Amino acid sequence: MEGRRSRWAGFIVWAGLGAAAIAIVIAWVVVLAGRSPAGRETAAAQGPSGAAASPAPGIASGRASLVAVARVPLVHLYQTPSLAASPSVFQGRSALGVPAVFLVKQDDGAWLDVYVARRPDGSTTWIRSSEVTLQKDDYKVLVSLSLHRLTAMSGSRILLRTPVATGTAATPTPVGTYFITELLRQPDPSGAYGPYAYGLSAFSNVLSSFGGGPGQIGLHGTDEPALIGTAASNGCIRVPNAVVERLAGELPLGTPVVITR
Amino acid sequence: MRRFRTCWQVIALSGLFAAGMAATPVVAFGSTAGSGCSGSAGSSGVVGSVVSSLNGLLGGGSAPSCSSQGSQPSQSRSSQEPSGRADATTAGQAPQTKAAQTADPAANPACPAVSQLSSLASQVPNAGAQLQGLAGQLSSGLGCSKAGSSAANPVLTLVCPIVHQISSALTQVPQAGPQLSGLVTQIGSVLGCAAQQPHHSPAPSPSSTPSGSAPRTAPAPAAHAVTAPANFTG
Repeated sequence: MEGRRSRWAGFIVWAGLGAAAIAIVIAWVVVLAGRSPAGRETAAAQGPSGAAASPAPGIASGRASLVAVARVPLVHLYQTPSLAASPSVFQGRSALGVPAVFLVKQDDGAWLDVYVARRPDGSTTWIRSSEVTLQKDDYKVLVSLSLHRLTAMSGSRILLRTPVATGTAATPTPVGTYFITELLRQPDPSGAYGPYAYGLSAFSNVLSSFGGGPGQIGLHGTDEPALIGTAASNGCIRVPNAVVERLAGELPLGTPVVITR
Repeated sequence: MRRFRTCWQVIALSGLFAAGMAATPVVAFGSTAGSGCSGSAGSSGVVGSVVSSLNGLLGGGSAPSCSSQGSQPSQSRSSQEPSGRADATTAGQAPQTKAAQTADPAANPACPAVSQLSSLASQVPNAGAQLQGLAGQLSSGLGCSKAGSSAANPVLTLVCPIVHQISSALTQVPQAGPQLSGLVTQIGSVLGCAAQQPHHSPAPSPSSTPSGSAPRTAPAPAAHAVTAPANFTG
């Protein structure tokens, strides 16, 4: 009898410990589920990916936008914010040594939903925050194709407004939300691109290549100032040389460029 | 009665085992409880040190020295961070400034291993094979190869794919160099290792972050112009 009572007491203690342990496990799992990227996947997967329709909150509201600058040799691009997905890679620096930048559409902490400079225009992807440095960008550039007008803004302040030349009907300037990917000082400031040429994350819808390049849309000066204010380009946005010189001293990489009809 | 008792004992033991698994920091799997060489209050342990070392080696920088961890506030996390695995990149949270590291490297069993790793990789120009071995060790240490372990522990469902990614990448890249640093950074990030570099730069200064809610970002500077002929569509 004594032995049986002792065994009962023993296994009651064990059972209590077991129940407590199971409770700890459940609590631990709940905490982990809240922290893990996989736990965010459901919500994140609802975000748009691929062709972007709506601009990033900062761009739409006039607040500063967020720019992600690569700080690793290869930035991994994910279709969903999950490490389980097989990533593609994006060079952290261009052949010219320019760091890759991404315009942040959604900041999810460890993950960023970003616009990426690749076809199709307006592509978005998920990247790891740990592979980039975030910068705040107060500037934005608005281009109206119908008005042939460019407006550069710093916060809510209009920095400058200028007429521009845009793409012809045969080689239209693509509409959408893009960003500046590079700034090239031209060896010949009196050439077709003027003194400076910005590369944008946009690509021509009709020219798959141009001059040895991938058909990338630029924002640059011009050697044909008389065409400013008309639809005359192959898709690029041409501004007066004095304007691009001024912009070159101010706009950061990653600055949003919103092109509307 | 005997069968009943045995059943309860099995349940109780299972619970204790599960609790032990859950309460064990992920970085302690297969390790002997590192004591903070990597600056995460002991939670990073041996694996954290390995990741730290790998990250330094792959990224082209020097591997972190155990004795110098405490003097690198921008590369570390607060030693007061709960469990050492909270994600410093959570929205609205700035990376915390690292408190001085007080762990004695000489007393940390992980430090000699880190030193050995640094020495080894620095002597081998093409460190692919060595790094692959390290990834294997990491995988083994984390229990990734154990059947069903991922299902049993949710932490491993996070960690194992990354480790597999590294292993896979190392087999495909002959010159396993800086390209893989990003992956290792991911490991550091998931594990909460102090090897994780600052999420955003520059790191906020303590004086400007009295409440710990400093902006995560710095203003973007004007683009640096590179002299090169453009080939945009024009």
